[in-house]
Amino acid sequence: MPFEVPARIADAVPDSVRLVRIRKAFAESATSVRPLPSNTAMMLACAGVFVALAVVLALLPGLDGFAKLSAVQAAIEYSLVLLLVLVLAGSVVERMIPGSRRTVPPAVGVVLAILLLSVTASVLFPDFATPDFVRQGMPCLRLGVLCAIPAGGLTGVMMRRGFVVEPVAAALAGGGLAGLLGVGVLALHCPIFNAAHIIAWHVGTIVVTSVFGALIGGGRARIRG
Amino acid sequence: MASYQHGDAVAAGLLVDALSPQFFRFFLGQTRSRELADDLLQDFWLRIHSARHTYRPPEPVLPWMYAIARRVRIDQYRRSRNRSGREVQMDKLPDVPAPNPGGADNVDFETLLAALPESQREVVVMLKVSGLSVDEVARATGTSAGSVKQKAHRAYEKLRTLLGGAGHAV
Repeated sequence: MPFEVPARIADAVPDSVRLVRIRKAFAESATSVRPLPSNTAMMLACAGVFVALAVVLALLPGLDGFAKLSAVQAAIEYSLVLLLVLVLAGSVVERMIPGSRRTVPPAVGVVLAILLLSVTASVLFPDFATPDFVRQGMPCLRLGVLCAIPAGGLTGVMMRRGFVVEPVAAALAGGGLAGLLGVGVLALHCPIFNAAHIIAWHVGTIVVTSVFGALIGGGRARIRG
Repeated sequence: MASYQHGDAVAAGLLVDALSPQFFRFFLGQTRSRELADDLLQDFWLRIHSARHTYRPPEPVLPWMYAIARRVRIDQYRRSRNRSGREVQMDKLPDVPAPNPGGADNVDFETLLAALPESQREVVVMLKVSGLSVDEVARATGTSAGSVKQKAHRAYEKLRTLLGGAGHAV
């Protein structure tokens, strides 16, 4: 016997009075809207804004790190940050559109960013000596998180243009993207080329902002519920 | 849907007429209450209206709508959970109405559905009540097709166990 849905559910119809009310409300407020651009267009726009914002924010404290990096180190590090910005921007955009095909889950994107940045730092700057580890690191973490705040606000504004149906996942992706902007600013500004310092205090920015983003998303979901 | 996005009131009415029964059944299959399903349907259409700019033709419309319907259902679930957490237990339980004569099969089906975890019930309702494909359910729930198949498989296994395997092929 095949699986059959009972007639009570299969033939159920909604309350006709309510339907009339809904139809009337729709007819009264039917206005033309412009559909959002494609995911690719929004992802590229988002990444472009974030890169520009990172450069502007890094100009304020100075581009000391950029000046000290070799061409190869700069090419590898900035390309990786750009690639990860594209991945996380794509993840954010996918969360703005209900029913959109999901390619990168936000948690995977954030973990991927943390791992790739850590491995790259270990390879490019294989110095793990930690003199003044905390004293030198705290200003970097502070700067990274401070730079992530406007980026997070910008991501929030962008998300409001869409319709988020998974607030925690969306906020996690947004937090990761904002943290990545902080990492980008630190990659341009910080002249300390030490793997332990970069992994703990630069990449740590993504951990802080992602957790914070997920908490905000969870809070919003609870408020909505 | 595209005409509705362009402000066509007639198209909006047609959309409501055509799809309301389907979404009503989706909510009914999960809530087991007609009144609640009607409330959810109204809330659903309000959200569809405010989110209509996020639909992009020629993308499939049903996964987009079901993703929103699912969110409406989750928000209602959270609201009812929060409310029940604040409710005070009564000293005397209210009288329970007599069961609907001749409706034993339906009650069984709903009881079976209620025994499934929320995520599995949602997948079964979308696949069997709403008639969506695995890919459409995957898009609506924001998961992979593999994950949907796995949830459906587990749900069917559980339903088979509950039915006692007595000639009921799910």
